[in-house]
Amino acid sequence: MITNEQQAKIRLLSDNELYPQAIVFIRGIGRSLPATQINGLLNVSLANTYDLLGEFIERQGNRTTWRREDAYIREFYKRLPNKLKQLEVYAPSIMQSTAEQSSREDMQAVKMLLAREFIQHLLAENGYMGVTKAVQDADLDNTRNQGRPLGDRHGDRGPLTRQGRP
Amino acid sequence: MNRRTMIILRVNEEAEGFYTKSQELGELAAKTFSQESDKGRERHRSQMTGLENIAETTLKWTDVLDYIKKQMARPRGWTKVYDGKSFGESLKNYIEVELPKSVTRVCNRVHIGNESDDDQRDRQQVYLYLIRQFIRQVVVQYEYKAS
Repeated sequence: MITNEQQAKIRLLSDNELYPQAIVFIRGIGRSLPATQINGLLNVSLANTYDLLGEFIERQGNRTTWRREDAYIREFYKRLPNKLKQLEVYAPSIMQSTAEQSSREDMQAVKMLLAREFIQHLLAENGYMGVTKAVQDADLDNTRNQGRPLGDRHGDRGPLTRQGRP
Repeated sequence: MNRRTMIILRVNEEAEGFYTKSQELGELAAKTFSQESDKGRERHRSQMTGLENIAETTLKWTDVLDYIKKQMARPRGWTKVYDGKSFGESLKNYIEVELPKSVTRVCNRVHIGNESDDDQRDRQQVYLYLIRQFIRQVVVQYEYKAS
């Protein structure tokens, strides 16, 4: 049973540690994942135990049916277990606040909550990364197309912004 | 005066300085969501209601940033550029870059440190209060401009 105190600790950790780490992690993959992949991962984390989440990630990482252009997705699943392992180190300090000895179930539940927070941040940054990538591509197209007749230009490439990361 | 009351007072004082930026963002939101409109104004007010709801109910400030990023990834106008600025990016940028400076000012005035768990939690609370104040003001400005 996760106490209110433990939940508050997880929230603090999510804001101060997991959020920046999720940004660094997903940007390290270099491309934004398809929404189906990241939504699927979040759904698995919401509906299953920590062990089953681990199995799912491992299965995805070991899949041999990825297309060549989807190699980065496989890479994402290959890197994710190590990252989740790193996040596990926060679990004992969260469990410290209970007077009684924590059970394995409680420890797994805390690890799962940490993983969910992390994956939720991944999902948001992944979407944002996709938009900013679309913008960079569009800006590049605009630069290349300067001076060319309109008919030579590429079609609409999605929403436009000019802002970069802060 | 207890710490909680001091925090609320100082946050309210700090929020006085949000007026110009909230006016700018409210105007940008009005342009963004009225341009997008094809089913009348009510439907697009939902973008502001959703934003306000998440800010008012969440216990983590990253939920607000995650919400903004997710909205930006959807084709609902959050990334449309008007006069070189998009509503989504401007809002995200202000919350990520400018509001932390306000958090520091409030925390210094209320003597909230950076070390203990209690201090960290108060700091998190201050950030959330400031985000709520800012978003409330943006929504008011949006209503005024869109009316």
